[in-house]
Amino acid sequence: MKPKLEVEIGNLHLQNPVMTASGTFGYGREYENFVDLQTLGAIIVKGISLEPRPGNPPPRIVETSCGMLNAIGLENVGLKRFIKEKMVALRRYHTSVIVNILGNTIEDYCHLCEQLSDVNGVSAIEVNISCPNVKKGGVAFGTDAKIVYQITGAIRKKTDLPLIIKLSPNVTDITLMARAAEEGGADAISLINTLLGLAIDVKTKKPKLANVVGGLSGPAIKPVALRMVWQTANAVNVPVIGIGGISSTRDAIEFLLAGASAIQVGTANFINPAVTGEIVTGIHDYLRDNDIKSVSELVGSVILPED
Amino acid sequence: MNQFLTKAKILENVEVGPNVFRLTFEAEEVAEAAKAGQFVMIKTATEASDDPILRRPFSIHRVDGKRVFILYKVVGRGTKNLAKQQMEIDLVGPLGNGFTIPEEGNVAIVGGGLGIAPLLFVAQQAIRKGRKEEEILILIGARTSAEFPVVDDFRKRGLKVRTATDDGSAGHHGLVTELMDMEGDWTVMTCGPAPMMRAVAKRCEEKNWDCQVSLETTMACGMGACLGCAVRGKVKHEYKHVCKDGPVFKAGDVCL
Repeated sequence: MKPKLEVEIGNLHLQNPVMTASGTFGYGREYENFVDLQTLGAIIVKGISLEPRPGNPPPRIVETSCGMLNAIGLENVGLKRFIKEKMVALRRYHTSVIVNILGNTIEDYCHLCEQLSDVNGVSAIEVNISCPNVKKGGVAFGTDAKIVYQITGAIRKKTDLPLIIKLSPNVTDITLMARAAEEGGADAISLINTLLGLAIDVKTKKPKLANVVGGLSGPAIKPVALRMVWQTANAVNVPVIGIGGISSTRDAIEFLLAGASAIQVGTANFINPAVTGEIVTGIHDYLRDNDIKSVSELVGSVILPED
Repeated sequence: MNQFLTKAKILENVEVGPNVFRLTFEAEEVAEAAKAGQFVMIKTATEASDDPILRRPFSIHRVDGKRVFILYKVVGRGTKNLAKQQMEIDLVGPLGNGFTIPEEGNVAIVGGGLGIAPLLFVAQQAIRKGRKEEEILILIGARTSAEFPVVDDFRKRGLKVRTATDDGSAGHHGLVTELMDMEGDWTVMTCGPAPMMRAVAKRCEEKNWDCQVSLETTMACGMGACLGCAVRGKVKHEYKHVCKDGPVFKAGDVCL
């Protein structure tokens, strides 16, 4: 019997739980030579802002042990060009498209959400709340539970599309942020965004990134991400989407066991551009080989030691 | 665009100069699709390890039938790993935009150090495009004569080669740009260290010659997704991406 790969994330129906993490898959078509885009659960595109953003000065990336630091600076084509060019191209594939949005004020997010809600082919909105909040001295929205609640609530009023809040791990207790997002009306929580890091060149004594600090991603962060997903899945009732260092089917299954209803593949796309398709097949084979009828049976089924 | 993710059989991976290796592998689709100036991303981690995590970009040195050649220098842990591989490599390519070889006129190919790597392919394609040997001039600079591993490969093709070394151990004692004393109209294609390419571009500007430069940066994806390989464009706050806008640029379009 063919195992069931479909998952429901709130009112968002996906043909399988494998998505591409924002910022690692361009606007989708960059990968069309390597993955059949129509086999993916969803494509989450590069974060979109109201106006185009040029990004940070170089160097923007640096390799670390089993990972990389990036400070791309959220370079993107802006909402107008995204709708006019990128979305038109993406509509040709019959794959769910989730648009990741970012801004520097709550109003930015609201505008983005309002306008994207009318765009044909947008299946859901994912909100990057790791950006600096210019009205609150540049502290990231996602590090204050009150602001997480406030921003989620404000965006919620602007759209009927499924709303996913993407959490920053750079907080003392991620479950507080998750609960705030849930109370604010989020349909799902995705986590984790990158962990803030630093690398210094000992020869020049200068930081290796022009931006000084950057976001750490890749296999190096997987155990931290998995722990946070597990904690969050136990703290909220809405579905959790796991992100952080997922590079193989085994990694993806770990996140599902920990309580993620779906997963996103990020940095691994750079290393193996075909990896997302391979994970879809891999999950299918795992379910079949273990006589599991549906992905949903797997979600949160980690066996903990009895006390 | 034809891009492939493939495992290729290594035919040869040998040291051809001090710490300089030539890797030859069989990849028919890549060889057929490749243009001079394009690159491939090679996984250097061994099967058992995640490290180094990122693929490394290498320009295509030349192609011959199904065979693709890469010329590289061992500088870090990625290339150190690559030098040990003898069976198979995992690669993505060909990637990026190559050199634009003009339909007519003289072509000068200016290489510095290992920047010579993609330039044999340029000469090969210029000849294929109907350029006569005398319309092609190869200028190569290096610190010392030991760093000229592939000069003979140009000479074997009947191409005119002039060399310059910093220490005077071979050819002209001085900078390769000092050899750019040609008369008439030229299209100049260059690859090498940034200061050298800056000097080549400046010379071309003075002479009103077309100049194409091939840039190198750290890359993660190599296909325009991560936007990590940004370089400054000529307009303020404008960035170009080496992997998809380049690696070959018109000299006037980027800050060298």
